[in-house]
Amino acid sequence: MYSILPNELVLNILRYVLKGTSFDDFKKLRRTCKQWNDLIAVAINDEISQSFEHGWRICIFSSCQPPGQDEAYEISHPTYNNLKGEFVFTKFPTDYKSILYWPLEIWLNYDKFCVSSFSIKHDDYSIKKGNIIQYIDEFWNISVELLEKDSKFKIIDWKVKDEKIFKALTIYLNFKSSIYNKNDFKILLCTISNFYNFPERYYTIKSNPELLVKNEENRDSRILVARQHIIQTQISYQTIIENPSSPSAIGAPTTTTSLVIYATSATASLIISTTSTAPLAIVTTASLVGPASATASLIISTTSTAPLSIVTTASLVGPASVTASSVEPAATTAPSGEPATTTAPSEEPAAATAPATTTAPSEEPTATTTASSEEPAATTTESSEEPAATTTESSEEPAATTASSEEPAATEDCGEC
Amino acid sequence: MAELKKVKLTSSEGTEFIVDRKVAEKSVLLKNMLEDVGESDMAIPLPNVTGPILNKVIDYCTHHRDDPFVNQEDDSKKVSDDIDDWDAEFCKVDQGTLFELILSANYLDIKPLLDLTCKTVANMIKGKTPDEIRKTFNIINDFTPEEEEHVRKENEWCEER
Repeated sequence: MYSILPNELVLNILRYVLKGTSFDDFKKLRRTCKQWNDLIAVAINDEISQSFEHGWRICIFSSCQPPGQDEAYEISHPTYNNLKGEFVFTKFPTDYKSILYWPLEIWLNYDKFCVSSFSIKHDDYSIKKGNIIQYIDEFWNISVELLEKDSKFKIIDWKVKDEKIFKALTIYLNFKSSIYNKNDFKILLCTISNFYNFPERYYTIKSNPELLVKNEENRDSRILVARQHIIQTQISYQTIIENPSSPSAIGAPTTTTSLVIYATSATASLIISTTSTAPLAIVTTASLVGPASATASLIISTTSTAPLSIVTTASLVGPASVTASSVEPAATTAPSGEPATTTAPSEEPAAATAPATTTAPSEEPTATTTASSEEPAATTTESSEEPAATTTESSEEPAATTASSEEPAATEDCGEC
Repeated sequence: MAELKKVKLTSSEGTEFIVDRKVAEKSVLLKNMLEDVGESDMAIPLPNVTGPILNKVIDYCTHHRDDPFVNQEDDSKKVSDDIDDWDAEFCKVDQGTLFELILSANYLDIKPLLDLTCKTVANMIKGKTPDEIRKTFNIINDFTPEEEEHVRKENEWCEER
């Protein structure tokens, strides 16, 4: 009976299927029959061109270059090649800025998400200008030309494996999805100084620790902020807990969240606040990833009249020699007999209180991957500005600590800078 | 009060249905025809729609007669889990009828009905493996074993999850 439907209507049905499932689950349906094998590619292409038409960017920078010099270029959405399982980008910017610093990082971003990244290693700089170089790895196939003049860089051809893009877009949609209920977090992402006039955006994060842990494990699925948007800019993630989840064993609503913010020389802060009057336990992991002068601050504030239990981990990770890491693993319990008030980030470093911990090793071959701190976090700050009425826990890392990178790309010396 | 205008529709077997013009006009095809023809007592033949299916279509259009017109290009509601109770009940039919309804909705250009029926089928697909889908819809696996293995290999990264 199914066979009476023409392709057009089967495609319409498949579009609905795609809307309610992940790209990778959808792709599995290719095996159903030859007709579906063909139509699934069409449905994916339609979805990409409709829902993800704008927002694709290529970001080219070097972790060695001074802040503010990285470049992001708008590119058109990719087309999907079902048979090869890859996305193909065809239109590229024609005029890039000169590349002055190496090694190069090329990020493919969608909106604020880094879909995929690629490093052009330091050694490649010695390749004769004017030659077309093809870089191929498991996920990328990119041909670039180093132009004779002005050390400019031109992309000739660019293909990315569908696995990369599907996984990233699935995570992106999860964050954007409005299907989550009142127990979910709402994340307000805004650029405080709005340096790039970037609009405020709301994201919803499912308050599912497993999902968040999964996100954390998957290097591609972290909340990645396009580098150019945070240079000289402060990023604030504000978590508004609308309705704390069900009481935990200790009788307190417990929420768990984990954020990784990619930054370079930016200042990033995670602010978690609640107006809950119930006891509240918050377990928060905030990681700021970036080189040298990045600063992370974590601010927990509450108007809770009940005891507040906060376990916070903040870590700053990034390429070697410019990375600081700090962690506050100890549970801070601040019984508060009276209503607490909102707090501001601590501006001055207080005494260091906690040893540094390490972060998960990265599987990504990029310079902005996780590094682990081997030294005690001398820069960790835990301060309380208003002892009785205020519960503040903030950490600031002025990136004085040197950390070792586990990534070859991240540890390479840069002869050019 | 003005008398409600009636329209005659004839199914593929010649069965005649008399419906309010407002109900008939839920179909863009019929709306355009009625506007072109103007006032007429002539029955409109619908050779692609059988009597039982036309009856179901009329049921749907009657229930939704006062719904606002949906923008043809509006895909923002393209999620398959927003089916209301009446519509869900309406779609509790055998597979053959469901596919006939899809064809008729497409032919008569009744987008909300087309959306509803496609969503219903999409919901039947979701969460199923290719094997289960083939079984559910009696789809013949026309891949050779080699071809299927090739596709399976290409899908390896998502299959193994």
